[in-house]
Amino acid sequence: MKTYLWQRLLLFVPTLLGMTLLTFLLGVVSPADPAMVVMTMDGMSAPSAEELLLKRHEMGLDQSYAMQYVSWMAGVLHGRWGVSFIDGKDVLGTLLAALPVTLSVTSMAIFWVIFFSIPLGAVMAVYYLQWPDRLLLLLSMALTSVPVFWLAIIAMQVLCENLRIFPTSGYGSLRNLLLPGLILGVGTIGAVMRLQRDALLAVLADNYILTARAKGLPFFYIIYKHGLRNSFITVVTMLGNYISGLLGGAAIIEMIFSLPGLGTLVLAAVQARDYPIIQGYVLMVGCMTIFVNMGVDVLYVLLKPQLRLEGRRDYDCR
Amino acid sequence: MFYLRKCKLLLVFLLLPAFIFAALLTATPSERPQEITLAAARDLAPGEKDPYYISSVAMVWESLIATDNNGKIRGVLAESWQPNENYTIWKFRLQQGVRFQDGEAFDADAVVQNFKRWENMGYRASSFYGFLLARVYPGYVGIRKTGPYEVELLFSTPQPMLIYRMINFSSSMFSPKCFDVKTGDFTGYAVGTGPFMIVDRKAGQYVLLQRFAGYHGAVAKSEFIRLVNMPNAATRFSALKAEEIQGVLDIGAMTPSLLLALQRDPRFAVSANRNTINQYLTINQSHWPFSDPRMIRAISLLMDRTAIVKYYFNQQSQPTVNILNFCNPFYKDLPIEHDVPEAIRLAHDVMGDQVYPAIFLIPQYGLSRYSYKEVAEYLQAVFQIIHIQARILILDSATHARYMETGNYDFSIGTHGLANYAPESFMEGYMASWGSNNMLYKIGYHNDGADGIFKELPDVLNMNRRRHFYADLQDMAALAPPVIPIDSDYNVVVYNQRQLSGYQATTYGITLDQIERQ
Repeated sequence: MKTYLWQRLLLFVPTLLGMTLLTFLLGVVSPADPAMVVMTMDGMSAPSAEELLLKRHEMGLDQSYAMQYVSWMAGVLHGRWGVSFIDGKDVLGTLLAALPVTLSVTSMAIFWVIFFSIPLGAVMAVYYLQWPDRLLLLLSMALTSVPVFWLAIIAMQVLCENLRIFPTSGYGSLRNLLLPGLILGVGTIGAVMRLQRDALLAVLADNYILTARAKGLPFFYIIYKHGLRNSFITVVTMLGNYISGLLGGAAIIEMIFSLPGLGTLVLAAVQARDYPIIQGYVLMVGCMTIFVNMGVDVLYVLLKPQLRLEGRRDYDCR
Repeated sequence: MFYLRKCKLLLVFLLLPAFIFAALLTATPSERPQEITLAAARDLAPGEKDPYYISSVAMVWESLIATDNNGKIRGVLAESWQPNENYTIWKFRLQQGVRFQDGEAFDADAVVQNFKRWENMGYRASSFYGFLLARVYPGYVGIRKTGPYEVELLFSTPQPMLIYRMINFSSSMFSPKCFDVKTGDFTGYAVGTGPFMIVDRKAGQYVLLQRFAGYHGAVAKSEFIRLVNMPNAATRFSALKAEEIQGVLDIGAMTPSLLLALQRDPRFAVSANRNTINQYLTINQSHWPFSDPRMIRAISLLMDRTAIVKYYFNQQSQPTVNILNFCNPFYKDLPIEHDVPEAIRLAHDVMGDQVYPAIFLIPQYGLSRYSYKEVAEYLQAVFQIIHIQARILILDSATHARYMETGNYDFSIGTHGLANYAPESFMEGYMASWGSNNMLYKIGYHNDGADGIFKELPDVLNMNRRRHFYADLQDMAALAPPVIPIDSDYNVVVYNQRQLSGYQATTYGITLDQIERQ
């Protein structure tokens, strides 16, 4: 297990380097001059050629691309992720201030995913090919197909504007996160429902379930204790991928619900060609994705003890 | 029971959300029931690195010189001013008895420190107005204190229009204790002399203002006002309807279509005032057929500005053919022209029966604030009358700027505001052959008459003569436009009239100090 984790950690370095290089190259090939963007961001000013040259020098844009990349990477390794072209603030500080917001929304979305999709998926498996299964299958397909921004607008009108159950925007309490989290998680709920159904159906077809039933154990207990636990392995594996998707998808939700997270930050940065922020964002989200996938791997082994035993057996053989 | 006991985790799973819901759905009562919450489309308090920290909308800081809603210059922290005979030295007498919100006295030393800050900080970008001392105060040499409440500004060249340049953002004053004079950064919350002071701020989320009891004028009517950042127009609309906020303010507070929907609800009222922004159609005049001034005139005559304002701007602006915004004290009222037969004739003289394929740019920022897409589609339709087939491209701000910089466009719709009220600081940019906007966006405008005036203007110290020149320039721009003006904007704000009173739009912001809960 340890060897495996070390291997993953070592793979982490070239993956990150590749990511940063790609992000940097995107900045290079993109059409706009950041100095110009900064000096015209108020929509009123038109800088002179001298003012532009000065600004380009101040921002380090008059250096070669290789030098720009190397100096940025050197700064990253020392904890200096650069300063935003637009507001001059420290990139790492800005990202760290926005990170908890995105993590909160994503966590809330995962909570909703687990809360809805696991029990509903189990119901679908238990009532396989009966009307609850068909109904929930239809629901899951609808949830996966519905566009998130449309659902957000409708939910905001009904639940916030008319019924006033949830606040429309803001950040600061769990109450602010319930609806954005739910909307963000809706697509994943639909997907995981079907995944859970299929995984549980596969487990329920196993002989040990038949044995448990023959021993007279209550059906709900068999599902809960033996069925669900073993079916989680498939779901947890996929959940790692879904979390990465949720992190990316949070941007539009943050924008709609006025949440000051990483998504809102990077959308503004992309608009303004604020490369230091974009590079920092890619670096941070890339690290998070890699760590989430590693966490999933660990969870996978914890949920399936025979994997540990197999690993030990392999080791013993050697 | 045995099996249920074995399923403790399941029980926790089922009960936990119930507890969470019970706790969450009980809304906590506000700490300050009289607090007013208003929303804006952008962060009104960008913070330490911004040259002003917070927008003037928040009334935290005041300037030496400002303008009233009729565009008239008035002293705020400067009581009076006097130039020497060649306008190279301006003496300012300051208001006495004014204190910053931190208790520091506002005096000549404070003004000197503010100017020293600008000298050191170089160009500072801002979503309000970028600040560069050399641009705001051209020919600036230095400042000297000539008395406890008197300073002199020194210039290398005559500056007859200085007070028109110094309005609002250009002469904002802060307590010297709240900024680093060497870097220009704020070291904490901005501290000004205005009727409100900052008591709390979460970057990108909100800024909480408290009434400043020691204000030198009439104190504000509300004790606490929270300005929140809501970038999405639909969210601001929903928050207003849900009564989470009591009003919206600042540029693009509400899109015209959402404004119409709100006007149908008796809870809401709209207030509008002239602001300093004009909408323009920029035409790349560096190549055929637009290099021929007759073609530009044809396009100007083809546009039905009154219909554009009526149908696409919800009557919240005023049609104009004047390049200068109507807030400017030198603005000249010019008749609106709309003459389709003449436009067709002029275009035919230039193009004959040829068809010209054109690129029409829309910057993305404008879509959420204005009905640019609809206006562009209207223009696309009318251009076909003169055989111009425009292809509309919606581009993000940076790419849009790049297209314009490289001259890769025929038309572009956009806004331009007045950073100050010296007409040449705006007009020269577009009308002079060497004008920064003219060159930067490859407009290709050339007008010998305008060039002559701009060359002569720096030496014209007589204000009447300058006034004539400004009027001539406006006439020239109407006849041969460097950019085609469409309309002059109104600052349109919406508020809940059942909850608030005293909420009125001003040229830049609202009457924040006058609003109170009903």
